[in-house]
Amino acid sequence: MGKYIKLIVNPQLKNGGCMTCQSSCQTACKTSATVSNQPCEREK
Amino acid sequence: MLKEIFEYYHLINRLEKFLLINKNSGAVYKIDPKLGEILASNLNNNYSNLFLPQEMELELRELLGEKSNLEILKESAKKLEKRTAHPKAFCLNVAHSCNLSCLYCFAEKGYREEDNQKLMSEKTARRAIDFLFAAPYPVIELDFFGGEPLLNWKAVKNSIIYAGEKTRFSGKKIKLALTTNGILLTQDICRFLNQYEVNLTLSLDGPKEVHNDLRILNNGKGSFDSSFYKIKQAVFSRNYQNYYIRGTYTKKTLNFSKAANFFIEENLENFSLEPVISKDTPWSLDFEDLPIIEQEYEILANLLVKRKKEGKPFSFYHFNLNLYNSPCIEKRLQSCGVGVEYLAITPQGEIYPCHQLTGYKEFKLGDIFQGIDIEKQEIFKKIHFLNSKDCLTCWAKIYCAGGCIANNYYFSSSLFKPPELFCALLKIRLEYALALSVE
Repeated sequence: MGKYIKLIVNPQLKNGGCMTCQSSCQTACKTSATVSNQPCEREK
Repeated sequence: MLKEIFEYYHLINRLEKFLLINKNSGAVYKIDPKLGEILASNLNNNYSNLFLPQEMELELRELLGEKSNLEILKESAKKLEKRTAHPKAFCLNVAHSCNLSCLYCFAEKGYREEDNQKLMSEKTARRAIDFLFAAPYPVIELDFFGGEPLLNWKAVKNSIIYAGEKTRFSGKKIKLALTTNGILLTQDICRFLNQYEVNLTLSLDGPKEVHNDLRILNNGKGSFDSSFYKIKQAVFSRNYQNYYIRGTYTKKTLNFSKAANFFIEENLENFSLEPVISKDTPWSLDFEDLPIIEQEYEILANLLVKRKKEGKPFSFYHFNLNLYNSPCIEKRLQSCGVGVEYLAITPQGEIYPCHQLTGYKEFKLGDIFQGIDIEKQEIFKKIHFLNSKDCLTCWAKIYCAGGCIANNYYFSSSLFKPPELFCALLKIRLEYALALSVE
């Protein structure tokens, strides 16, 4: 954009649901986490 | 009116950075400090007296043209509600028994008191694994949980071998995990778990005085000495890979950055620190604790910045955002798949929506011998943030997926109403994570 405001990322909300990625409760915390620390594993 | 912009955008001012987040698309913008300072100074009066130099105003107004993703999300949510349910991940509660009596343990609220059968039989475990392998997913997950799963080591070991054999015939990949307090870990057990690439979640709250505050042995004494050295050995045995230290902080141990420092000093650099899930106890969190919690996340975030500069970063689970390889819409809407893709199995083979809802009879979904009651499962297909009124206007929804529904139920008696305190806490944590993710 311009001088004062810069777009860093506009997350692509793409269809998926392939279930390759890890379910959030199987990860470190065993409580709810933000989803953004669970990236799409298909595109790794 | 410029004020209108902030119906769609949330301002973050953390770690000397200013960001704007689009509430309906999740887009992240970095703001020049001059503009950021002006916006931040108007935050308390809700931007009603906001006046900006013309070129700043023009740029800010451009943001109103940003596309919303709400319609795409709504379409996906409709499909989610109609999806065919298959399990993808099982939390196998192989032992409803524990060698600790941690005062904050959620198991006390649910299953521990009323179970007759405390340990899962190998037959039941195998049946559960068969059930899981029948699902049509290429990757499935099995997490050994308790109580303390190592109290039923034989069943755990044989289940891992059995699941490993099934992967060869099915072509599926299985991700294995085990959550333990570490007390019963031996060299042989570690060797086996390492060989089968079982990810470890190791419960440790921090240095001795912190850990011993609420994590106590059944004889009432602190468990630090019984756990810590075993945990260290286990992590060393796997070359400091594929593990997470999982700590809990409470009202009594709010200075959790000290626990983080302790973990780092001890080379336990993959960790998460979670708020205690509890109410009406001396260790339960409440709103008056938020300023200290906020301060602690600030300390932790600054420590990470410093360590990164020194080339010695650590991994705090909740700060590990990946903005550029984001999860799909389905994941963003409902995250863990509670009650549909993610299920917990009791020692008797009963099926519950998740490990935290185990023992809540109103949510029992069936058992692994007779199958799942698909009518009772229906409500869990409707769990996504668009069905939560509180989430609809929240800036964090695209990133948090509506939070933990077990927490919702525990605190609000509704699966669809997130508890305000935990939302506030999560948003603070997320703001730091976003600020850390942007250079």
